[in-house]
Amino acid sequence: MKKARFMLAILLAVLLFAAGVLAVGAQQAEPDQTGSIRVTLKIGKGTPRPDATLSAILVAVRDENAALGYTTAPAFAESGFTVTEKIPDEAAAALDAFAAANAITGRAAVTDADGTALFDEMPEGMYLIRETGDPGAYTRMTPFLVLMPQIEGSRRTYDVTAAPKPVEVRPPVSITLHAEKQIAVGNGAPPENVRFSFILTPEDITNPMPKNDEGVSNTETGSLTVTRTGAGAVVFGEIGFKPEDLGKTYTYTVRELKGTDAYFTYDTTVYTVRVTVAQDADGKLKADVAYAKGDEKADAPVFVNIYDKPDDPPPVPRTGQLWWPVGLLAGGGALLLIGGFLLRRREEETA
Amino acid sequence: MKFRKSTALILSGVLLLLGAAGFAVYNNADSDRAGKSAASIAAVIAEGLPTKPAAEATPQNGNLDRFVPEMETKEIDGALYIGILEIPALELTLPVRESWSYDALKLSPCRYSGSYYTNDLVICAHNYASHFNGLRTIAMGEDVYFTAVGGRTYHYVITNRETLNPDEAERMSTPDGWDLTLFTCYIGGATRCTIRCSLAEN
Repeated sequence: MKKARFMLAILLAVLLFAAGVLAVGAQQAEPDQTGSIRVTLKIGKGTPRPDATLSAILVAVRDENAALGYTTAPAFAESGFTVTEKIPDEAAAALDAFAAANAITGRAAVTDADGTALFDEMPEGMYLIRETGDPGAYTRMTPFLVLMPQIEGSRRTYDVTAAPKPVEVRPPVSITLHAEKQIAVGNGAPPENVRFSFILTPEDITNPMPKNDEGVSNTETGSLTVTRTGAGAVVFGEIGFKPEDLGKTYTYTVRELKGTDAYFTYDTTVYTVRVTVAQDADGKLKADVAYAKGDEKADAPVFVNIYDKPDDPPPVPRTGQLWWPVGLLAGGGALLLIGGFLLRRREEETA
Repeated sequence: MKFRKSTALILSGVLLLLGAAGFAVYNNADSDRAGKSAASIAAVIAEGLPTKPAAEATPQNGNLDRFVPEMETKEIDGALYIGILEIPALELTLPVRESWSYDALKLSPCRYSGSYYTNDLVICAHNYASHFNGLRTIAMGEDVYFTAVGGRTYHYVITNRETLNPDEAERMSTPDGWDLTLFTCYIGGATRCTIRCSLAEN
C-alpha cells in the first residue's frame, strides 16, 4: 500500500511537471501573431501627403535563438545588415539602396487623403518602409526602419504608428550661367582696371532669369548686364527651374557689350544658350545646358579682347581757354605802369 | 617836348593792360557764345526726348553673329549728339557730342571715349564759364545726370577729383572703376582737371 502511494505521488509529480512544461512551452510557442503598421506622411509643417505609394519590406525576422531576438531576413543576407542593439541612422538608407538595386519588393500601400497608409496583418519583424512610387512634386520620403511589435519591457504593441520625417515640395533645380573674359596682347601692357560688360538676353521675356543684385536688369527686354574688371570669370548668376518647367527648353543669348577703352578691340561673338529641364533616374529635376556659336556647338562662352597700344599714343586734348596771356599781360602792364610812374617822379626830382 | 622814358614805360604798361583786358573780353565773349550754342542744342535734344525710354537694341533678323550695340545718336546741324549732361550744382545743362574735335569743343562738351552702356563714359569740354570751368571747385557728392537721346537717364555722384597730365590718355579713358569721367584744362592749360563719378542708379 505504501509502495503504491509512493508510485502514485511520483506519477502525479511527473504529470504536473509535464503539464507545466507544456504550459510554458505553449505560452512561448503561441500561434504567429500579426500586427499592423500605420504610416502617416506629411508635407512640410503638417499638410497630409496623399497618394504616396509606400512599401514595407521585412529586413529582419523574429528569431528566438538570436541574441536580440531578430536575425537578418534572407533577402537581405548579402546587404551586410545585422540587427544590433542600436541600429545606425544610415542603416535604413543603405537597406533602401540595396532593395532598389536588387528589386526587392514588399507589401505596398498608398497614403489616403489624410496622408496615412496602413500595412495590415504583418508578421512580426523589422520592416523597412520606403516610398516606391513617383514622388511627383515632392521630395521622396526618407526611408526608415520600424519594429513590429514595439516592445517596452514586457509589453508588446502590435499596432504600430510611424510618422516619418515630412517631405517637402521638390526644390527647383538651378544652374549658374557664366562666361569667361580673356585679354590677348598685341603691343603694350593692358591696364588692370579695364571694365568689360556682358549681357544675357532671354529669347522670351518670360524665361527664368538669374537674380543678380550686382547686375543691371532691363525690364523691357528681360536682359541682365553684368560687368567685371579685367580678365576672368563672368558670372550672371543662378537660374532656378521648377517642376512645372519639366520638359521645356529655354533659349538665351550671351554677348559682350562693345566698349571703347583705349587700344582695345572687342569680341563680337554672340553665343546661344539652350537650357532643357528634364528628370534624372531618381526622378529629380535636372537642367542640361548647351552652348552654340551660330550653328556650331560650342563650349561655355569665351570673349577675347585684343589690346594693341601704338608706340606713340596721342595726348589728351587741350580743353582750355587761354587765360594765362591775360595774367601775363596784366602783370606786365602793371609792372610797366608802376615802373613808369616811379621813373617819372625821379625825373621830376632831378629836373 | 622831350619824350621821357617814363612816358614810354607808362604807355607800354597801358597797352599791355589794354591787351589783357581785350583778351579777357574776348574769352568771356567766347564763353558766352559757347554757352548759348550749347543751350540751343540742348533744347533741341530735350524737345526730342521720348517720354518713355527706348528698349535696348536687340539683334535684327536673327543675325546674332555680328551684332554690336552702339549708343543712339541725334543729328543736329550735321553733328551727332548722344545726350544731355546736367550738373545741378553748377546750373549746367549741356549737350554732349558723339566724338570730339577742337572745332566741336567750341560748341559743346564732347565724348572723349567710353559709353554709358559699359559704364566708362568720358566727356571733355573747354573750361568756359558756361561749360566745365566749375569742375575745378565743385564739391564731392554732387549729382550729375546724363540723359541719352533714347530717353534713359543715368544718375551719377561725384566721388573723386584727379589731376592728369596730357600724356596720360590711357589713364583718362580707362577709369579705375569709375562710371563717368568729366575733364577740362586747368587755367594754365598744362594739366587736366578730371572729375570721376560713380553710378548712383539707372
